[in-house]
Amino acid sequence: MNSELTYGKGMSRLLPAGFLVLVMLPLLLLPLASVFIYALKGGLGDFAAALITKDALFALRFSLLIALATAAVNTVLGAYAAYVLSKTRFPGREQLGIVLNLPVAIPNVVVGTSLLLLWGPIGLFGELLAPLGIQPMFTPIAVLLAHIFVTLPYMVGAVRPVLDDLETSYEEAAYTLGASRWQTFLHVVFPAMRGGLITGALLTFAHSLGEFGATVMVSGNLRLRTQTAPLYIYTQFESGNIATANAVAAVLAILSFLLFSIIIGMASRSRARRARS
Amino acid sequence: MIRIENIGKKYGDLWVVAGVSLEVNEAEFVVLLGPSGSGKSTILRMVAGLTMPDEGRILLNAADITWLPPQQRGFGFVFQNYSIFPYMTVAENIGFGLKIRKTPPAERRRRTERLLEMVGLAGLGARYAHQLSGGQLQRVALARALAYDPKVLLLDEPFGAVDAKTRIQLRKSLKGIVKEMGVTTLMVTHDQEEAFELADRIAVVNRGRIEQCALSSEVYYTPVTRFTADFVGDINFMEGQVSASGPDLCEIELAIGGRVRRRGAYPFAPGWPVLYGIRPEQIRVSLLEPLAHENGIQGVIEKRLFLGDATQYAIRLEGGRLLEVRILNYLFIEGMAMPYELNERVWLIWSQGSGIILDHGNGTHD
Repeated sequence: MNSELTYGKGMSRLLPAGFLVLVMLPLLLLPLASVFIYALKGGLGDFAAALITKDALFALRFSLLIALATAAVNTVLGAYAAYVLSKTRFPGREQLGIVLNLPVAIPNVVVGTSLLLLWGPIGLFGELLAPLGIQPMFTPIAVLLAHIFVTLPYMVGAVRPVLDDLETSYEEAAYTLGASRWQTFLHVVFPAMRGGLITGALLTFAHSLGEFGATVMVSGNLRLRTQTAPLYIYTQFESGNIATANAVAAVLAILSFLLFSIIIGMASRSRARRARS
Repeated sequence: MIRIENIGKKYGDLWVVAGVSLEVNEAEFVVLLGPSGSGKSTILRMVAGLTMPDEGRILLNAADITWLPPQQRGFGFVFQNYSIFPYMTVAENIGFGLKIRKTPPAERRRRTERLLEMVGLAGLGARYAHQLSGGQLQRVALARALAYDPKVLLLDEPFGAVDAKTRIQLRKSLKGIVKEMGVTTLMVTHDQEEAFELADRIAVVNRGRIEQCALSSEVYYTPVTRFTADFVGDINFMEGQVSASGPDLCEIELAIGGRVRRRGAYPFAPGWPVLYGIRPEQIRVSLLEPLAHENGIQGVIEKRLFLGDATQYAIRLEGGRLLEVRILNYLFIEGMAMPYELNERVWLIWSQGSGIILDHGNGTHD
């Protein structure tokens, strides 16, 4: 049930919302608008031309691919982690949960640095792998690794509450009806997780699209190799190519806006469904 | 036929169930009756295989199933909170056990339809759990547990979460269904009325042990422990001492004064401390003295409570004891069920064939 406080009549009811919009104008709304204004300054033609460069297209495609791959890996990994944390008992369970959530608390740049310190050329493992010719950092794989690291908490955070809510008696009921552990997971636990998995996947995808801090460290920002869209925007802006940067920025902004609209839409629908039951 | 032999379960250092033995015969309906925390649900869960005992064994038709996982026991279990799978329809829920057993879809549908009819939910197969009321969910849970003709039906406080009227309806249909199918049933409840209505035999559970397992009438009229006498129905207990004991009569001198007699043979020698109990509905109120073959005691009406079909009186005896008396309101004169006023001095009279006598001494008695 939402609690609404809308006392007063007529225009005075809009006052709280109006004040909020006023505060958000210079912080969020106007800056976002500026991106689009600058991107379309030279007209739609220039906007399209800025996008269809080799570098821009690669950056966008690469970001989308990485986001997809991250979401795919996280769906399996995050779901498994959520299941273990929610449904099994072992010493140190709470601590493991906290550790898995760390990436949310640590600055993404530090995540990137830590990965370099382990897998990079002077890293603990990197040093052992270098003579074998294996250099995991500054590659697309490194970007994927960093994105998985950084977005896993979002998947676990979306799935674990659903599993926590799922009472043990559902699984017990399935056992008494003759279902094995696997059949119980398939028919009883997984359907309950589905909504959380989709939300988690969307969140993972969205965060991966916008990931900068860790990516800038582990990718090496290599043009046409490991340069994601956010990195492209940064590099272009630094070089003074404002229009090009903004073109890609506008596309990212629209994509992210769409994604989060879907996520919020799903969340409110599932809240309504839960309220009904 | 289930045989439970001396099972026990402990959590940490606490034995929540200890030394429990019970037999449930083919097609019999046995109810485990006891207060919350008595361990009755734990016993049921051990029979189901959801919890493993720390001692003892469980046998099904002479086969040891103590360690058999629940999937392989072939029992039906109805949970307290129904546990209807929320992401399946009612029909899919009911057919789940059959699906696991690889029953062909046509047969599955046929049985599901029949079960829906049997529990009174015909036509609701396509609904989801969140669209059903508590009573309907309970019926789905029952149908689901019975779908594959289980060897035993286990019910854990199945009527806990519904209102009183629905409980009564569900109870009636459960009894009908279970008897029609002839399935061996073991049910857990804290509701004595429920136990009486459904059970062939009642096992009274207290603090992890079975105090008595017998027919409802035996548990009610000849309880073997104070707990059983107290828990099953109401009772007025009075302390006393055996003053005379014969082959078919026992006389007791009450601590509050006065003597009562009980027909029958009791293994207590004169002088032995006993607890004498008489149930509220066994006492009648009168202005006249008791006859020679009746027990009687005098008191003053202190409280009167109208209960609809009956009236409950609290009578203060000389010496301070309060006795509860329950009288059916079959007589209604001048706007009052009983023509007695508060503070009126009356006789409480009951038969010498009524009365429960329990050992109140320590150690053995002859």
